[in-house]
Amino acid sequence: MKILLSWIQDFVEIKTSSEKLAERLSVSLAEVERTEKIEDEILFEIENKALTHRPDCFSLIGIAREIAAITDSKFKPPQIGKDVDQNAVSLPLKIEVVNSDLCPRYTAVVITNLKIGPSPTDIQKRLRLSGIRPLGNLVDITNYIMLEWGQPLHAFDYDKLSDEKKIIVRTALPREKINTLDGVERQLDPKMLLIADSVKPIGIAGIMGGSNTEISKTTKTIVLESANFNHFNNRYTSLHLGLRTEASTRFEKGQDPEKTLTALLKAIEMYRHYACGKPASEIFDFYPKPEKQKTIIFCPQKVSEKLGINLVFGKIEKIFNSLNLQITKDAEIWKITIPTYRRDLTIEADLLEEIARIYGYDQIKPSLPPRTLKPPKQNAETIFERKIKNILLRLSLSEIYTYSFVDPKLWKKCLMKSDALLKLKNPLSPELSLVRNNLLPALVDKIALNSKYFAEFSLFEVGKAINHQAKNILPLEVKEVAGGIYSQNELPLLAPWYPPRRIPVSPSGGGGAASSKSFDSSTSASWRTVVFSNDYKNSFLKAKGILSALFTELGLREPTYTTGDKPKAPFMTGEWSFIRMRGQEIGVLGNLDKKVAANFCLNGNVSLFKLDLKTLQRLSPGKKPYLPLPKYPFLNYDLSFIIDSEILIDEILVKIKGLNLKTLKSIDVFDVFINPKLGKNKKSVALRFAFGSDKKTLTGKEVEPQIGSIKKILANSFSALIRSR
Amino acid sequence: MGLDQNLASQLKSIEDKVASELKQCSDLDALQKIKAYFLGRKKGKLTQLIKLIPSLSINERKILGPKINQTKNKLLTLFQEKEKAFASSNVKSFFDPTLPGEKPIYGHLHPITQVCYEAEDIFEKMGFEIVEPFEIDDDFHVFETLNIPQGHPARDMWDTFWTEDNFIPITHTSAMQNRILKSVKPPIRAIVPGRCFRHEATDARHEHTFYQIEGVYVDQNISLADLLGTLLSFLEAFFQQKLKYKIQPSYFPFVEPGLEFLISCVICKGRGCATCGHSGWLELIPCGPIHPNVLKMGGVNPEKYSGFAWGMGLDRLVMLRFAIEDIRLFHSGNLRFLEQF
Repeated sequence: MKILLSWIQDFVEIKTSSEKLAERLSVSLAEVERTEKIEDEILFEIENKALTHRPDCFSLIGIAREIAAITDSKFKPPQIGKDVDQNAVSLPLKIEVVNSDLCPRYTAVVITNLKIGPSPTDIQKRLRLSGIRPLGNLVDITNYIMLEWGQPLHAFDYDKLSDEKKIIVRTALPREKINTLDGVERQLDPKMLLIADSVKPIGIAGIMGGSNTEISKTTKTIVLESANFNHFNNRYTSLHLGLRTEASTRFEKGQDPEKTLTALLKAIEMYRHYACGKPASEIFDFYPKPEKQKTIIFCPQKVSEKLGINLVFGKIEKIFNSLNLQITKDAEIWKITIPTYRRDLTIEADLLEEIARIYGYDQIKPSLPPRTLKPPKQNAETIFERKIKNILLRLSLSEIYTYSFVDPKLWKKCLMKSDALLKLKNPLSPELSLVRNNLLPALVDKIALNSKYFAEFSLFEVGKAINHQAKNILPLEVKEVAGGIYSQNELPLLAPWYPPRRIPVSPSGGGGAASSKSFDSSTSASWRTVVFSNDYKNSFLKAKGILSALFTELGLREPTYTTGDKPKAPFMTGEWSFIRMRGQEIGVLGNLDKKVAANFCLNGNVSLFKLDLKTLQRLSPGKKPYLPLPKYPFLNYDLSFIIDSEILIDEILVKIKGLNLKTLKSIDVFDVFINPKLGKNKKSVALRFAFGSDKKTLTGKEVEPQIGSIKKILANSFSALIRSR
Repeated sequence: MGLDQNLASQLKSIEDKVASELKQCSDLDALQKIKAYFLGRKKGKLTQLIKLIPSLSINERKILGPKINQTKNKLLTLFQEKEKAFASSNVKSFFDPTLPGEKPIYGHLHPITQVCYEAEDIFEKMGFEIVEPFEIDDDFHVFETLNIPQGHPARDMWDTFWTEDNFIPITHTSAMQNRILKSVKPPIRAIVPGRCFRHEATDARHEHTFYQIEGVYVDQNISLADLLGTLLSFLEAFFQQKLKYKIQPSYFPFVEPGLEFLISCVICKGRGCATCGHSGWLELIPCGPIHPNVLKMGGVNPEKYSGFAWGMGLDRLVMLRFAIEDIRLFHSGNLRFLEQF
């Protein structure tokens, strides 16, 4: 909002420099964003938003009152001549307010004998510098008063009213339309308040007049309207029509109905002065429920209690007086009478604000509230999230953030359906029109982006997957972690040749009910961790290794992985797996579908995983177990054998574990490969068994029976052909 | 048998010859020539013997094959040793500590996460517990319980997204205030770090998706001075320096009065720079004493208790901390950006 200092000076004497004044206003009312020097004038640009609750300050008079209070100067109230010219001719006019709830006050007068012409240059200058284009005296006067008083006025061409010369304030009829002054035809709805004559709408109340009664060069007589409209209704109409005007900006804040008539009288005076206008009707004043001054009970003690400043009561009184707030004292209790224009003051806290800002916030000494030494309550969920992020960080994954708003095209590229996603009513663009219910598509997108610059990397994101629930129930927000492993070149899962690899086999994992008691945590060898070598380039195994390490760090046992046979985009059908723990599904792991990769022009190999954090947290014991180091060295025994290539490693391990061998401490899978020499559909598997005892170092002879039984079960269950030893 | 003995002596003589030649050999060129003479692909003395193998009978092959191979390996080892000897005498082994190290791959936490943790940790030390917001909430929590009824012009201050079923991607983390007030008995000290949304076109300084840390403090005898002290203490701990601050009046319906907390620019120490728009001040935290209506709606008696709240922009803190110029990088997923943190 632009404030012309010379105009303000009509109502208050400015005793300080403009720099000082701007500073004081910024500290006590609203920020002066800019001071402009233009045509020998000084113009303040004041931040509007901070005045949303101050309808009175959308006027020069309002700002002048503030300056008077802040700078301890005197407010000079505007002088209005009350002597309306009685000698004028009388022209008929009727006023009917149908919706008095939406129009608490309506004043109007007919003014005739008008001489159209440009406004005097000083009026034109004031308007121009305040950002309003002068349009000739008849319109300029309404704008001038609006800026000065914060009371929008409207002038209708009297001769363009229908013969009955009746103004009706009513809501719009169904499907009613109006052409507004800006030349746009607007469709109205029955909640919108209109000004109409007996046959047609002639204006949208408090927003914009109709073109059918617009002032023109031939206008001689006008109906001048000064009214007060309900601010909720005004804002509704302006929002729904997408029409914001200087008038609606003021009305939607809620203007004081007490100034409605005063502004009209001031206008009559100006029309006489600048356009030879003569009143030609009585002054209509529909005002069924005059505004009453409110009082607020105020305890001056609260000033030190709630603001933390110590003021003598005399100083508080002085501040109230400067704001025209009258005090009636009743012992400790003060009754404060609020002027009608201060519609923002309704409770004691509002009065405390007045004291703080006029006294000066800079006078308040910061203090700290007293509190106990009791530590704050811990949030288990955020702690768990941090833990997950830190583990993934240690495993060399980098964290990304992606938007919650997603593109339906992204889902399409991932071969996923986006129908079930929440939709935004007012998206910024189609690319941001849905709310994500899965973190993977954006992750794939970011992997594609980074694959142009890096040959190998891993990313993760922790975020909410948001799912529609029943109507009127908040959507379900599921916190997930999604991870992606990328490598440009890679070896297939089963190759004719494979570098030695170690897969940690948590003895109790993978087996479900079949897993044996001798593999419980006390004998488990889970202190073995995955060893990654840099030339380890199978992204699936890397992803799985990351998950294993994550679960180990969380103190969880290895989950079961079961290949899902159904399609589950963006995963490759047949190359993804459910991750289950204690019968509960906690996530998914798999390879990215090659078709999806192609859609993203993504070369290289991508494996993805996704975990539900809440379920994971519920299953996590909170700490990871420590196992004492073995007292006696383990005895390793390697065994390689040939079996059908479609037998899962897990099936083999489960069988061996089922033997309940007390001295078997761990099994490592260290070499798996296929080779035509092995026979059709055969693979070679090499296992390393570690045998140990708490009592002594075992000898080869002592473990022979166990090895024998392992060989036997391999031969019997899988027709395995033992290769070595 | 004859063939066997004949070959054995041939192999022996080749081995001897090579040994004596190598003794006299004094440079790499000469070494290559000797190597070619014996092991050359076409006419090498030993190569010719190897070529004979396919023409032998199976029995002969079984016996002679390994012998020839043995000799070959012996020669190769001899040549290799000599080559190494030459190499070490010709090139001085040199320790160069300026060679670049191998590039390790390691993970990076998002800068917003890092700064958020920092802020959370400071607030936790000050006694605040952490509460997580909803990402999508309802009108009741986003507006109504915050003293912003339907049709209130203040609603325009938030450029709000709406879902088709009339929920709101939260415009501010203040949406949790009502739940916090209802769930804990004073004293209440909580912060709400979270993702917020505003319907605004994106450029280097504006994002439709941003982060806030809401703070709520409710107890008996809490004053405006306590609010100033709390925010100043936090910011001085965060920026690890003494700060000047000032207050500007503003308007937010859920606090009374609505204030902006400004600090002297941490980049230019108040002298004026591009970051602070040459004003010397950073507008950092909208805040104020909690409006009595908000307390009432949260089941807290405003006669007995008072408090304050703030909604601090986290992105701004991150940008200040690392001098990041473009807010859009945060959601770019670009590793070249992320690996710098």
